[in-house]
Amino acid sequence: MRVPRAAGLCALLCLLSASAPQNPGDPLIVTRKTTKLRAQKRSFAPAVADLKEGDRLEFVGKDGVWLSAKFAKVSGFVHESDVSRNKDVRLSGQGVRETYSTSETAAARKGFNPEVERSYRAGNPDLEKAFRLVDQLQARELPEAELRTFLVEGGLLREER
Amino acid sequence: MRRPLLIASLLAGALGLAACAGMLNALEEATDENTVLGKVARGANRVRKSFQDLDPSEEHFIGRSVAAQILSMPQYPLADEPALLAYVERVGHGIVAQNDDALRPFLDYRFGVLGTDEINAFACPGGLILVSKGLLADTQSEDELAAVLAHEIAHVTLRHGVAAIQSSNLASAFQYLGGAAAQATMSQEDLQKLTDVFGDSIGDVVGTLVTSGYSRDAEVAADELGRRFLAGAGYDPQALQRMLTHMAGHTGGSGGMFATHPSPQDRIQALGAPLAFTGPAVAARQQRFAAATGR
Repeated sequence: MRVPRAAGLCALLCLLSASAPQNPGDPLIVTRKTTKLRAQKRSFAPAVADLKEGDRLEFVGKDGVWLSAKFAKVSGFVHESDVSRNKDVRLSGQGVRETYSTSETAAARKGFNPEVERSYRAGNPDLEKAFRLVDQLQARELPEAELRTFLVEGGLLREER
Repeated sequence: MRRPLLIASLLAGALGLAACAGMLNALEEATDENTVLGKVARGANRVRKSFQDLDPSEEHFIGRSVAAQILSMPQYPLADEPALLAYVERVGHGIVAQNDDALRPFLDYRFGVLGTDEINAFACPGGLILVSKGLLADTQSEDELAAVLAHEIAHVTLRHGVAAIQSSNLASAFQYLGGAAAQATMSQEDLQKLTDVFGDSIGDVVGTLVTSGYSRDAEVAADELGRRFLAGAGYDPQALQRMLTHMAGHTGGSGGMFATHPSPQDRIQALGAPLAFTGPAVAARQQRFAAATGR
């Protein structure tokens, strides 16, 4: 009965460690389409690396909502809602990497994703015009420098208040 | 050991493992995915049960279809006013950038202005926020506009949109999507079933946003968090009460927000004492508000 004992021990260890904090070295997967690894833990801090969905970082530590992490030997900070610690996180399709294992790829591709949206749209052709409007809105980008200027002019920028 | 007992034991262990992502990851790394234990470990990855288990990209695709449904309704055309939209975007993004506890969705927040006099706004899952010209016309300052957007950003952060999906639809979706160890591609039949559940889920969210509204508790929570976001962004948190007071002044108001939200008086009362504000009155904010809204 070695296997049941081993399985039981594993389960016990897991239950005991379920609330344990994340360990340094654990992987973090970027879940936003794009984001930045920043030099300091604040929104307008200089970027030290550009990140894309599916990139894997190495967890270093946590301070509030900011995680310190390493990416390609570069250290910095990323917002906790930019990443997942779940290895089976569902990605949009573009985020799946060649380096992923077969099971990781299968998991990442099995969510509400572009394939499901295509199927939904095929069944609802009357929504096509509205989807194009959604595409237009989602294609809009606001450069960080412009936003920062807007906040400074309005007396709103946190660092200057 | 007999094979069924072995498998049952492994499954029992795997269920325990599901409680701990860190240990699961370690077990996955220590095993080959082609071995029995490797397959069990991978198959035991996250058991998804509620809307909180939806990942950011999934919420994004739900939100896109919710927004498309709303924009396809004749009463909610998208306004073609680039300057006004650009201004709304700056105010909205400013709130998010200055509040660390605001959720960062898959594609960041996006904003749209609806060309209707109806007083209304919709926070679609994934951060696409639609606000009507009627509601914008009710604002009298940038701080009040920020109050409207902060309330909607709070709904996104609190994930009220996906919480509106009926649990039976989510359970069906998670069943079709299966675990990590399931086959890499979905059969056409499963894709059709999943699409049906996706459509039902969209219907749940749209029905809540447009017709039934969130619960009073959800609206009060969004007001509370929205007010904190306002203060965090440097705006006057009392602007939310002022905005609600304007809305309360629409005697006999019906439809739009009046049909889907608690009364403005109720919301003002739930907010309680106003938060103190010591920030300066910045003329530049009022000037750009007047320019963008044509007042």
